Amino acid sequence: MEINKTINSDSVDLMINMGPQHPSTHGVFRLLLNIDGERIIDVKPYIGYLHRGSEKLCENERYAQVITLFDRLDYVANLNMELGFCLAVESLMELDVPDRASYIRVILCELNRIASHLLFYGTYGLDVGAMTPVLYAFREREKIQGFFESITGARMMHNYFRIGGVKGELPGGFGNRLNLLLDEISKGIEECDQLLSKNEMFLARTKNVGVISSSDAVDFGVSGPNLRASGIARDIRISKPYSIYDRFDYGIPVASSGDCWDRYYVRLEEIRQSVKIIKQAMNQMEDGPILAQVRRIPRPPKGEIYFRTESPRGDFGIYLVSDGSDKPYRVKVRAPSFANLQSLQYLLKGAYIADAVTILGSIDIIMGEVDR
Amino acid sequence: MEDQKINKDTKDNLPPVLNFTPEQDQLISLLTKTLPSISNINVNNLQGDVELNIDSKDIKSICRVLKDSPELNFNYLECISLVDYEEKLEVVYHLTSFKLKKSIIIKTSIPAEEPEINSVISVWRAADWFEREAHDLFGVNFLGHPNLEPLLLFDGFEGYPGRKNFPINDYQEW
Amino acid sequence: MSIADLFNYMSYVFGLFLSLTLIVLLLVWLERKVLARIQMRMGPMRVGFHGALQPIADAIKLISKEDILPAWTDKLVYWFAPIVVFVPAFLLWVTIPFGKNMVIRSLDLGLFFIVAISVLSVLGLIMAGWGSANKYAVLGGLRAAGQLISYEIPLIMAILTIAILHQSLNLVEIVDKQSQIPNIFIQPLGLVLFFIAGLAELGRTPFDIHHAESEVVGGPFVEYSGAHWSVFFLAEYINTFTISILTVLLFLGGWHWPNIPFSGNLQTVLSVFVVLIKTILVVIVIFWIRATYPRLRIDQLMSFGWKMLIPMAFINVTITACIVYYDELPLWILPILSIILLVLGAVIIQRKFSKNITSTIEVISSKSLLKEKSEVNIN
Repeated sequence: MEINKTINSDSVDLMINMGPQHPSTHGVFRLLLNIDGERIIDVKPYIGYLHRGSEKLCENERYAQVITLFDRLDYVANLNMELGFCLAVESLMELDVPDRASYIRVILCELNRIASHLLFYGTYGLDVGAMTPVLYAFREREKIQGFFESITGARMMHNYFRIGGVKGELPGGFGNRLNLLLDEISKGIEECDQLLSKNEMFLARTKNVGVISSSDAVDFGVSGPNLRASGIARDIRISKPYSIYDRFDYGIPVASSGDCWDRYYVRLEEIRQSVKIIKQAMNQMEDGPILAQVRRIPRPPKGEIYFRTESPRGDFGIYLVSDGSDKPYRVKVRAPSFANLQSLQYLLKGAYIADAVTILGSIDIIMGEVDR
Repeated sequence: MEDQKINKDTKDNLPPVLNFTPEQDQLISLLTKTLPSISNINVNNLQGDVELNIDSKDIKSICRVLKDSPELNFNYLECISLVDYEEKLEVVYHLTSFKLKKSIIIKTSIPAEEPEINSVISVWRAADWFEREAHDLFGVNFLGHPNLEPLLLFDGFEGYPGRKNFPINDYQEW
Repeated sequence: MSIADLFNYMSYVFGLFLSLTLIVLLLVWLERKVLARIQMRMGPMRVGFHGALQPIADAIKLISKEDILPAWTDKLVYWFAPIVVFVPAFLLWVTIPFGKNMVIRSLDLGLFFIVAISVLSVLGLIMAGWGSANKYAVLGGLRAAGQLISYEIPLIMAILTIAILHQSLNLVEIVDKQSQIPNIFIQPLGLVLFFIAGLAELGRTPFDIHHAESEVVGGPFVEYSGAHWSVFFLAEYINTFTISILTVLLFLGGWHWPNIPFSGNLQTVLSVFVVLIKTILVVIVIFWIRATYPRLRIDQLMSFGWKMLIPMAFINVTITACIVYYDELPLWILPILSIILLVLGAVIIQRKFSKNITSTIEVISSKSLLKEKSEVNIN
């Protein structure tokens, strides 16, 4: 898209304050738009409305208690957050997680990824003005949440993963219910795909809008589906395999143009791949213990680790410094949304106001993670 | 004291050179070739990532070399973290090179009183918000950063809540 | 004018207002139900049979809500805007027949009157946008102005083709001339143009740009609440019904098709039902489109209007005028040419977007990536 910056010296640009209360800023995100007619000349993002000081709070909680704080970072992919922290502590303690626990974790995390991407699908439909996708997406997401509830006891703030395993055994009939759920999801995804992806108006709204080249994306620290949409096949699950992700055979969707439609479709494709992973994990899972032998109050040895996991939004890194006590000395969270959101300033220049919403939606931010 | 202990600890656990895998060896030799001034190269034995301990004055030039050198090409800045060791602050950069498929860690220490360090925003644009956040929470002044407004905190917030000496329980906002 | 005349007029106005309000309540209920069924929901179910009384409950709630007057508003403009929007919507019904012999005033310049009056509502939207002293509202108001003025042209052109075809501007006459063949079989292109331009006039999906919730948060109506907002709401639904009934009268044969068997009063009553049912079917199509399509961007809307609809509307008018002028040409040429144009337009749109559809997504297997150990740049 060519950027027309025709600024008439006689005219005054209009400042529009978008957010923190705006239906399509996905939480409490604020954008100060400087517009000329329908074009955005300049943009200033403001974050921090949801800053709870999670990192500081972590320093004053025991390791097992920190997991609850991580639930509240990316609040639509809670289990992925828990997984990141648990794995970081486990590798600091050089602890081996029982196989069954790892499989349960992977299954739940991938289901969570599906739920997160479905939320993206629905809200993205709303962002471009289609009201039906959100209901189709939530039909499927609701099933997943109900499934989570039967396993973890909570729909969102699960606090299910433990350092060294998971909290409890799976409920009876888990396998059958999961198979049923996966069939329904696969069907639902195809419906969702048919509903929106190839719609001419949707294509017109998203194709060649908000294009970010691969070099710019890397420079801005963009990660996850956004980076893969720009043509770089970087996925932590493969580049630095964690947990048991190297045991599965699945696909990494990579697009080349880096526009909104690619970012959208990469996520939709990832749902299909996650279904594949879950099916393989189901077949490979065997009986066994679900929790390693860990002290009630884990005290990892002195040391530090930067542990990367692939959350639904990208590289989720945890920099964990331990001083040998029962509380972490420092926890720094590298939130994928935080880095992805930086690229917004660059993407929005010269776009239309309507595109601001489309582009912001396609980046798929979660403010709980951005502000921490 | 804390950090020295930790560093010492990792060094003690680590028999020199012998423990390096060939991959690490290769990266270290590449690093020493491109950056002859660096002497303190370490390996984090938990992750296997190579760790550079450098002087805070050199951060910008070293980062520039790391990114621009065609062999290394550390083009992806993952994270800038700050760790408060009471008497000093440690700035930790996590970099990844898509070309080498390797990650390295750069560590540098700055004084806790009036901490200052050169900004790396001209090397990676990703550094922008990470540095602003560090400025917010730890009061680090990033020289050369164009816009060090508060990012996570509101305007006029006093104190640096990321630091260890900032009270966590008896803190009153209003 | 005698007192009796005045009383008569007042009863007309009152009756019209009452019936339109009832129709709006019906449409609101219908929209919620239709959308709900498309979205696999139940829709309103609690108040009355299948939520039939829900719109009434909503109306009571809206009227009893506080009317908020923001501090910086231009008060006069702000309070008058809903009236300026509502009055034209209401006034149109003076000349719209809603059954055989069921029209308040059968004006000979009926279509001209409708076209002239319907344009006025733009003014109300701009007033609302300006008076609210809200940047989103101004943006919405200006969008509405641009949109409504540009889509007025194809709308009028589509009406003009019918007027040329039947040599009349009187709606009753136009309907009566369709007793043999409804205009849809003579002017399919005209119907499509009229319907699309009508959707844009209404500001309904996919043309709901001026009050897009996700962008300008309701546009001109963002600051309105309570009764004043409900007036906008009322006007919007009356307009929806108006465009639908005009589609029925101009293209779908009005109360003919099927021909009504009886005569006298019974026939009149039945004709009203025929028109109502046809209109509601058109309204359902509008709701269906709302449930299906995303919203266009303002520049896409403009380029679609000026580059597609207006040229086609002009071509359509020219062809119709030529065929009507040269009597020796048979009338069946018109539908054929019309369909050819329609297909041509569809092909142009298809070609424009088909280059977009080429999928660029490539799924790389994890095993192959694991072998290479990671970040491959496929560019």
